[in-house]
Order: sequence, then C-alpha cells, then structure tokens
Amino acid sequence: MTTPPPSDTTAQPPDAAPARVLVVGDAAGRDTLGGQVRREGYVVDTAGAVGEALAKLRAGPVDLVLLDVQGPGKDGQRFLEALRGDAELAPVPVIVMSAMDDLDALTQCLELGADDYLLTSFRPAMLRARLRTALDRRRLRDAESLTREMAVARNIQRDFLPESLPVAVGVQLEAALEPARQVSGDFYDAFALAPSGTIVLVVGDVCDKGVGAALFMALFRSLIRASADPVGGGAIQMIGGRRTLVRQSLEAATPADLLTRVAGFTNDYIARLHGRTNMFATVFLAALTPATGQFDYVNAGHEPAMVIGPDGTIRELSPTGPALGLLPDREFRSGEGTLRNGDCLFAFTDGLVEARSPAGESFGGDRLRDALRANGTVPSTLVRGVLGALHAFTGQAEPHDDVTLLAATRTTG
Amino acid sequence: METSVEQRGHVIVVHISGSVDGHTADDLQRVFASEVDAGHHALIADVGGVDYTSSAGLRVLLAVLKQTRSRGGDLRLAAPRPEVRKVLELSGFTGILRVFDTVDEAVRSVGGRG
Repeated sequence: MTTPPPSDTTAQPPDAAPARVLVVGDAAGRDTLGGQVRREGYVVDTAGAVGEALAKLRAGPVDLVLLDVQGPGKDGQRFLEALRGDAELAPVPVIVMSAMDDLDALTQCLELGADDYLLTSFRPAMLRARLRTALDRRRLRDAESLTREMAVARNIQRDFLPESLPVAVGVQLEAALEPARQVSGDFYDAFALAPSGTIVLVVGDVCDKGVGAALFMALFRSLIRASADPVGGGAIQMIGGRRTLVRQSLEAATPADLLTRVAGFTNDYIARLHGRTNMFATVFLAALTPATGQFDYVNAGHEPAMVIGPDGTIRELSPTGPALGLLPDREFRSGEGTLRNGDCLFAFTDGLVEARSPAGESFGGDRLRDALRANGTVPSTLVRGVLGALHAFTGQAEPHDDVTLLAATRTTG
Repeated sequence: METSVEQRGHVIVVHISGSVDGHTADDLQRVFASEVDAGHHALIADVGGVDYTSSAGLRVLLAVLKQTRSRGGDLRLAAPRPEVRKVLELSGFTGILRVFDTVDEAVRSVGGRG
C-alpha cells in the first residue's frame, strides 16, 4: 500500500498536535461556527461573554481566537482591547467575523488589532485558508522569538566558559565544547590559584539536555569556581548546614583537601537547595602543579579521565565519589598522579564516547583510544585530532549530546 | 521505550525495556508518578530490557527514589545489563540505591512475594 501524497487541504502540518481554537460569540452562532472549525481538524472550545473568553485564554493555551462580533453591544471591541492589553495573551491571533452589513464593526476590530476577518457568508475553503494563514504566521513569529531568546542565552552561556585558558610555564592547555543544541549542559574551566600557581581543571556534564541543563551548568560552574578560587583569600564552606564565608590561607590546605571540599560543598549546595529539581552533574576536577607535574583529582561520577603517555600508554582515572547533587553528605575522596614530560591529562564528557554514527553505532572507548594514540600529546593537535575522528564518524548525524574535551600536557622536566 | 506495570502484593514492579533518553524519560517519570500517587511506595524498576539510559533516565530514578523514601518506601533496581550497570556504578547510583540481579530478589527485599 502506498502512502497518499500530502493533501493541500490538510488543516495543519503532520505530526503537530491539533491547534486549539477558541470560538467567541453568542450561543447559536458559536455552536455552528465551532462545529465548522472542528470539522477542519481543530480542537474547539467556546465562550459567550468577554470575561469567560479571557478566563479560558488564561487557563490554558489557545492558539487562535475566532471572534464573532455580530449582535448588539460592543463586546467584540472590549474583548480585543483586553486581549491586546495583556502581555501574556497579546500574541494570540484573532480572526473577527461579521456579516456584510456590519463592516463598521469589522473595521473597528481590525483597528484594535484583530489579525484578519471573515464574512459570515464564508465557504469552508475560506475558513480553512484564513485559519491556516493565521496559525502559520503565529508559528513563525513564535519560532523567531524563541530563536532570538536562545541566541541571547547562548551568548550569555559562553561567558560561563573561560575566555582564555591560563598560560603557565610547564603546561599547555587546550579545550573544546560542541553543544548538541543552542545551549549546553556541559562545561569546562581552567584557572590558576594564586600565589601557588596550581592550575585547577574542571570538566562537567549536567544531567539531561537543553535549557534546564544549561541553567544548572551556570550554577555548577560558579559554585566550583567560587569555592575553589575564592576572591580575597576566603572560602565558602558549609558550617552547621549553613553557608559561611571563611577567611583562610589556601596555602595551608593541600590541593587534595581543596578538591574534596569543593566537591562536597557543591554537592551539598545542589542537593539541599535544589533537591526538588533532581538535577545533578558528573564532574572531573584536578589540581595540577606545573613545576612538578604532580596532580590530585576528584572524579565525581564522571567518565574516567586519562593520562596519555607520549608512547601511547593510557591510564584511567576512575570515579572517587558519586555525581554532584544526588543526595547531601556524600563522601568524596581524591586520587593523585604525576605527569612526566609529554604526558597529557585528558578529560572529556560522555557525549564523546556516546556520539552516534548515521547508522546508530556509538563512537565508543576503543575508537577514542585509537584517536588519542594517533594524535600525540600536544594538546592542540590532540583535541583537533579527536574531534576530526569524531566528526568523520558521526558525519551528518544529528548531534546526540554535548561534547567537551580538555587536554593538559606537561612540557618540561 | 516500553513499560508495563505488575503488582505483586504491596510491591509494584515496573518492567522497562528499550532505550531511556531525553525523549522517553518523561514517559517513564509519568508511569512512576502515577504509582506513587496511587499510594504505592515499594517500587521495583526492572531494567532487564533496558539497553541504554542517558542521564535523563538516571534523573527519573533519583526523583522516584526521593519520592518513595520520603513516604517511607523505596525504589530498588533489578536485573541491569552490564552496560547499564556500568553507567549506574560510574555515576554513583549504586551507592544511593540498591540493585539486585533478579526481579524476585528485589521484590523479596522489600517484603514482597518473590
């Protein structure tokens, strides 16, 4: 059996939920009109009085209003004034309808902001065309408005990633983040702690995708940055369940202490203050001393980061605690390692290994290891090489998840 | 993703199969929410048929875990395949919820008929 070609009489695009039309008018007229609109495939609700119509508009989403302005009174005008004066309701398109002998009422309504009109002597094809045009215009307007908002969000979100990576003798850094959508739930950070010069590296992945994950990305990143690199030599700590700014010398704390404290603080803040949202993030944190190559790390439920040697050996840095934000009062331990000259500390998000080919196959750990071994340990070459291998694999397939890579290679010793 | 719900005494087993991702996680959330709303607080998620879960699926488990525990119940997991178990272990979920090899063991662990 063949699928019939799309008919040009289809009231709305396939796959879309039927649009909801509110028919406003006196009892007899709105029932007849409602029936005609329903036959075109729309979901129809009706209202008689202005107050009832506005209440229904406020109660649930309505895609279009069909306003019958026949009959006595100035209700149609009053309704339009109220609708256009309400910021929430103003975007709803209105088609006014009247008889040929009441063109004054129609004109007044159009002047008050009605989008289109129909004469009561309409034929089904005319009704169909007017409804479709008004709804198409609205969809286009909504889409444009959303695109503008998302572009703003995307620009602001860029500001939550480092503008540039720290430059330090003894270590070279490179990072990349490719969002699957306009905004991302992934993040990375790299900053030097003064005065020790210890470099803190962060790669995180907030659960789920889209706008919700993006909002929490900003929060996780800021909590980590603020608790690890306090302005003015203090640190925010949880004391007796309350957040308190504590003055202290960071030099007194070991990098390992700092990382476990940052993980614990961020975890408790999210789990206690935002527990209702059930958001969490997997995060890899490392504190690297460029002069010696020694590093401490906390892997909070994240894909194991890797230490790659110039000879292609790979050592994995497995989790040392759960993802941040699951439940309060979790324990975070730290691990440690040393980068010899030419060794690269490579952290990434699961969007890399879970990326799909057009056939639906995952990029996977083996392909990642092959790409790492094939590209040496110079960070810029390595990141470019891994992304090249990823793009060759995924081709034109729709991005599955955000992808983030961070590489830190020791260059002296 | 497909789900089916089975009642064993006071225990509800939600059998899940297929792929749990950002698109299907909402459906899964609704299945669990309707059980919790109906007063069932001893829930087993039978994930034996799940071949993939994204973090959106884990988020649903976290939500249900908190809901059931706050009502004196629990959510327990049964029969994860190795690839799903790996995701649970990596993210630390095996540290916050109990995982059993079989549905029967999970049901018995909350006092139901295994």
